[in-house]
Amino acid sequence: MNAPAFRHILLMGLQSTGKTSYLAALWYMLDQTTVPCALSLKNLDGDRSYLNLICKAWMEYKAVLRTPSDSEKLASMTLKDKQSNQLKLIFPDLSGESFLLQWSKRQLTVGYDQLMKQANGGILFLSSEKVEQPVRIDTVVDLVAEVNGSADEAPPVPVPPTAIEPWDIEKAPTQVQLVELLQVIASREYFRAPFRLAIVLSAFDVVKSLGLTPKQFISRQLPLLDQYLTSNSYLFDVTIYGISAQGGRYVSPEISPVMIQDAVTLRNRLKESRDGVSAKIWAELDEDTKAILESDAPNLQRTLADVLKAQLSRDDLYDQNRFVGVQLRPETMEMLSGHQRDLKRDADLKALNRKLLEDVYSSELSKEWENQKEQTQLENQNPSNRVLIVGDGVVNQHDITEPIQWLMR
Amino acid sequence: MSTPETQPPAAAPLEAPTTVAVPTSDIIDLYSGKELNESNALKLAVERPVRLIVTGGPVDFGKTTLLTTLYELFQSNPVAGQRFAGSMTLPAFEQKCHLARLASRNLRPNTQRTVYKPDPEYLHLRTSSTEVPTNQTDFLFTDVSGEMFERAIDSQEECKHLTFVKRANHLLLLFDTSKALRPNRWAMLQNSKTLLRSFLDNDMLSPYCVVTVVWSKYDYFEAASAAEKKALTDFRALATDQFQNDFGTRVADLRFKDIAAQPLRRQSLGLGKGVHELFSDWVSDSTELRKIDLHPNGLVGARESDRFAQRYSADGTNP
Repeated sequence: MNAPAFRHILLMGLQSTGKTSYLAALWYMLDQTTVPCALSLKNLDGDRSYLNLICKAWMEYKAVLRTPSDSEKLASMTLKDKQSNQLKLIFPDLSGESFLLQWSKRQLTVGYDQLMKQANGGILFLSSEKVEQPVRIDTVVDLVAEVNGSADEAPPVPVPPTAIEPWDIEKAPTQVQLVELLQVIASREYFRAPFRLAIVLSAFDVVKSLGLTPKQFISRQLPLLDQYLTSNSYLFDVTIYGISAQGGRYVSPEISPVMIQDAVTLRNRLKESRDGVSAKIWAELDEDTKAILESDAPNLQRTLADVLKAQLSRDDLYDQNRFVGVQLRPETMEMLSGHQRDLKRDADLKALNRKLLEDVYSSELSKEWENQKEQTQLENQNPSNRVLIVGDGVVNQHDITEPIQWLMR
Repeated sequence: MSTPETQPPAAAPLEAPTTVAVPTSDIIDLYSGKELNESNALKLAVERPVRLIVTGGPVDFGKTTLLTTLYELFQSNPVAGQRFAGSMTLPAFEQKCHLARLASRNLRPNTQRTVYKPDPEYLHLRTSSTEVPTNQTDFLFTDVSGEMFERAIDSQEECKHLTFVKRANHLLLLFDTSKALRPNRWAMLQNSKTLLRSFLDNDMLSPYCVVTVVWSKYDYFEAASAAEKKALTDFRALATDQFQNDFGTRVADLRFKDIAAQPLRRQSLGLGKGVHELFSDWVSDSTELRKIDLHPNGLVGARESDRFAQRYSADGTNP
């Protein structure tokens, strides 16, 4: 069967599923020569400033964030292979809001519907790290009972109605939302089967330790989706890839309990509030948290980590008067001057605040950041080799266009 | 998975039975995903073969829990040789499952009670055979409040209003095991018989409809004391005899099943005890083709009480 001369492919996926990271890495790969890339750029429809922005963040090992005003200027890019077959990659909504809208509000935008109408296939993104599971209460109770040596439990305890969390459709299991997304596609009157669908499991390096192939991951972690795809193989012609577009985890300023090196001293400093930062933090704590901190509870370290973590996103942590007497390191000073210029990125704010807290609590808080070693390894790699892709029929594991090539076949 | 199979003639993509796309400005409304109303359910049934499962029984007997448990079982595995193939009511299922999920912060699994509405509503599930994926089956499950059946017990006129029963491939009459030791158990039995008799007297059951008496919350039996088990066994045997005697020749196929959809008292039974078997019945029975068999399973002359007693010895342990 001859392939159509021109294919339209949609980039789809719920929020934070790796679409933007993929695009950033793709933009880099299309403009480098170290790793042979089977596809090349023919033309770009829209402003390239957003692509340059996310590509820069990717190269600097920073989380790629969506900037709505810029991303909306980007519509599509046309790629071609060595035989001059062309494919138009369309980005209807990099944020994933439209897809959430389909599930939660039961609505489609006319614009997105038009794009779907043109599409011959799609790339569906799914984060291997962020699979919301339908966890039942009895499975947890079973585990507890198992630990306690009893498989059965006493008669149920009534729960006060006020303690119940109301149902939130947006928190529905990932596999249910994805099935619905596919059902919506298949329900449109213009739908033509089979719709070619490349499922891309992003951040696949994170689950590599599980020893699962991408197909096995879907089968075990998203069995409802797996059943739906198998049942409807005449509607969706599917192949599954695992991709690490970042190449690994980036260093993170988040604070975990193990980073609290001296919990008692830190607790005492906060409580005594002799310095401005401790006084600010202590004054903002609720009474329950203060009680935990004062009680020498076993979860003291965790509570302290949570308390400091809460400060990371605060844009009012730094105040010149508050930091009088605190010896700031040159790197903190440098970040601080950057902060005063521009700190739109939440990640930058968190990084600055982490440095500030380290300077205030120099003995109590570790200066070792999460994933620091992993990022160092990444930084020593040629960016062209950062991308890793696994899946059936993958020819070049560093060529991020592999899913697109499959869609062109 | 990457090789598309031949499209089966009966397995069209899911489509909303009502107008799917109603452009209002730049927005298109999709199907709601909530329970289907009578009109939408009928439209679906016209478009493709559908098996209608009617679950009957008073309030709090576990009707909705049975359905949500079936849905929950599909969340992790195929059920009774069937894979999940779609549903037009995913959000409805999800909402009903919420109180049994950790996200609710509930301490024990529960099911949202179905609110009484004068007209029936339906949940939809499409499954496919694990052997032949193109062999798909659509199920519609009634999701009506027990109050609707309680009204039908009290009034012939109300009973006649339950017209959906006429289309049922399977009618389930639920008995709550946890209530079978209470003084009002006799009323429970009588009411259930009255309901079935009303359906039959008013020609509301298809001659092909399978009637299954379902003892729900079977975990209560498993967790009962020896004396309670004996009392429960006696009562269940008596109920079974009465159903066999009163209706054994009036319905095409009368069955008896135990389920513990969401076992609270004996969690070792696992989620959906007995639900696989029930679902297997719904899948395998092609009622259009099935011959009417007044004495199924070759047990001519055998009383259900005898079979029940064989399954459970007097002290309630499995033989």
